[in-house]
Amino acid sequence: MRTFFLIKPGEIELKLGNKHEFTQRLKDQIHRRLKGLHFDLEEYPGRFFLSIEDKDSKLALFVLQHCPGINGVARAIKTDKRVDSIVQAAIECAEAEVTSGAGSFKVETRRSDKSFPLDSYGMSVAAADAVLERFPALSVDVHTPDFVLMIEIRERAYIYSSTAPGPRGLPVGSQGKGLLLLSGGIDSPVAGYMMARRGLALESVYFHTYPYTSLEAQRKVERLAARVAIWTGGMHMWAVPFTEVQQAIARGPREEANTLMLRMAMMQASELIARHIHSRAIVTGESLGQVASQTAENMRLAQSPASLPVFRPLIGIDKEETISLARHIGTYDISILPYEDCCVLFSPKHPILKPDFGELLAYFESLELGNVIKTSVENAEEKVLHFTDALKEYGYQIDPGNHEQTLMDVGV
Amino acid sequence: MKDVYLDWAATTPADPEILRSSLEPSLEAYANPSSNHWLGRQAKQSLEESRTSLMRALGISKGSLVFTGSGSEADHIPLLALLHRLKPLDIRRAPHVIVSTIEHSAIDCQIRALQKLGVEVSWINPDSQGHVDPDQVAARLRKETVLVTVMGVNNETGAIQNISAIGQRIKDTAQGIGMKKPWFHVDAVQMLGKLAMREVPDYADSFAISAHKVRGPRGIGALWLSRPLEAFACGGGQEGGIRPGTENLFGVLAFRHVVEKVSESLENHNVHALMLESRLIEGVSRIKGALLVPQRRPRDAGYVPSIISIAFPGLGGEIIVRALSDRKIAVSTGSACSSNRRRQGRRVLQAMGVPDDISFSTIRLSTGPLTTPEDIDAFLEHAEDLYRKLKT
Repeated sequence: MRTFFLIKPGEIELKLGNKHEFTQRLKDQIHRRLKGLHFDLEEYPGRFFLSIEDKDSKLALFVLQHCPGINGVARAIKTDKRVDSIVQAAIECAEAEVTSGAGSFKVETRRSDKSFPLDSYGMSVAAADAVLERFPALSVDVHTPDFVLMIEIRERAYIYSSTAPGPRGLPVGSQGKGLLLLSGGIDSPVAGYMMARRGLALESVYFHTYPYTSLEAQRKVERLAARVAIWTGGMHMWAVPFTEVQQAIARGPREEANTLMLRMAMMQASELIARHIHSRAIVTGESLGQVASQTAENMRLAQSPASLPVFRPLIGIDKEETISLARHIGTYDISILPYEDCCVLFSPKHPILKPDFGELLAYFESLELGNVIKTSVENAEEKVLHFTDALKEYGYQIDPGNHEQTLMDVGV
Repeated sequence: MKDVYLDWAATTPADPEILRSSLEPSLEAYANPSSNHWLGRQAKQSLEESRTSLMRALGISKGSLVFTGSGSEADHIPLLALLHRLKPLDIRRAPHVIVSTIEHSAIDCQIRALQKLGVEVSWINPDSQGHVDPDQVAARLRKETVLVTVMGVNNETGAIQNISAIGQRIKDTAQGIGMKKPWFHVDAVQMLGKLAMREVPDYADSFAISAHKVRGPRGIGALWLSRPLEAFACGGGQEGGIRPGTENLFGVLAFRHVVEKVSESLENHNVHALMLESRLIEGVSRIKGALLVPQRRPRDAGYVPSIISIAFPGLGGEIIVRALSDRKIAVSTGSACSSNRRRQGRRVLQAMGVPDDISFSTIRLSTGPLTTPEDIDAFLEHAEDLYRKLKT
């Protein structure tokens, strides 16, 4: 048996000029993410339809709900356009809702096929009458129904009741590629999620200072990257060994500037990687005023080594909101694991709060970090987090051992 | 490169011969020692012979030995017995215990849990050298005091506690103020194999030991008791009703044999450990900036020679542990440094008044009978090199 999903694309509908390209992107994304499963994806104006074997339906729904560019996903019944068939499907749909305890409903019909014999209202009434006759305990409530029975009459008729929300936004890649500065904290994974929903394909960079920081800290960031990758559809991560850069900064005479210098060095390294991977932007999780170093003056200084635009999607978001987003995207529990990823030994006792831009820029130049930063980037380790790795983080597995590549749901 | 294992206080490499030779008889005596058939009786006989032999190997002729699942569990039994004394409606008579602040977490954490349930606790800090003053213990005794617990040898500094003096002062003071002498428990887990145990029963009411610290298997410990106590955990009545659970005959057999072996070689092991200690202390003195915590000389009678803490100021203990580990040298920070608390030092060293920046940068070395002078040299060489390279 096969399950049939009706997929409602997001903002694509608004982008008249690029509509075709965006639609193609979303189709590609769905195909890539469901690779290894048997499914059919059909595209009609304003809707995609996915049909997949029942055993894989739970995973397919999970994947679709994490795919930017999708507004919502509904399990639907597909029929021919005879009124009888539609009414029969409506009863079938209502039965599932009644079984799970619903007491009231309403029917909404959309009719893009204007040659259909009944108008929208007429079709809704016909379906509602039949449902009420079959389930006399149900009542109609047009304001706050327990469920809405949707009938869409297009090239065929589609009947569904509940729609699972998607991430909305734009398909990943439709705005090009960005480089995410990822740490083990709460903010940067959320920033990645937000930019993925704005259509950026993301790679990420992580700076580690082994042995000052532990391998557990690095593993934690990899897990975070895998969780962000559920939204981005897989992700490359560049693990940059930054110990020597940090040591070179620490050897400088101005301890109070260490944190700022480190941020500038990271931005310079990120710019090198971003150029290498043809990224159009750099993404950080900074939020104005959240910590002493996240001031406008400090951000100006920190971003000065980069020529690409620096996107800071959390800039105007407070910590509570960020935490709630982190919980929503499933990164919070990992972010709060106690492995620190920047060594306190290097943190100045009295960091600079109001930097003198010109003076500190000159100090950064005087440290002559260019070569040591370049070497660190050359020694960066590229880790590929496949979409299947992301699925594993959430307890799903596309089993490559099976020749037919069937799906094994190991449960969440 | 050869692995260098300098973490004997954490655990020891098991003695393969003893483990193998203990397995065979435990396979033969497979029945439950509590069963009343002949097979059960055979198992019971083997168990009781081992108990007697183990006590003999420890040099102890009085009291009884109860087998447990670990040293921690052996520590818990006298502590949890306090639960019988808790009378929630009568807070004036809440039981009172005296405990040092340098105890292993098996004691420290359990006492804190009991404290939450209403037990009153007097904590005693050691002096700056890591030793608990017997007078301080005596000064805190009061009529409600039912338990005193002080460890035999500290697992981070190697400091030997003056158990005999503490036991004597408890006895004298209790007599002086006309109270019943409180129970005196000694966590002797780090003492076994390093110091003779035979005199401990003269001044303590109970002590805990563990097999895996002396090359035995994990999962077997023992509690010596001067007299039975009313244990809190109950069940099938095994081990005199003090530690329920079907007995681990394999563990008991192996425990017996490793203790017999270690008791015979106690003097040799000590000579070996003193030689390694001298080499280590002398070597550390040549590493610029490094220091012993607390400061001590070779052959200092206040410490076992096989456990020693060394600070590398300006470099976090867990960082040097990690970097040494990459070079196949195993040492430890003594206890995991909670990394989400900024510059958090360590409980035992803090209790001694060691400043946070020193305790944060301290590692613990512990040696054993298989440790070689070359192991110490390798540690010294790499520690010096890493300290120079990584110090901030």
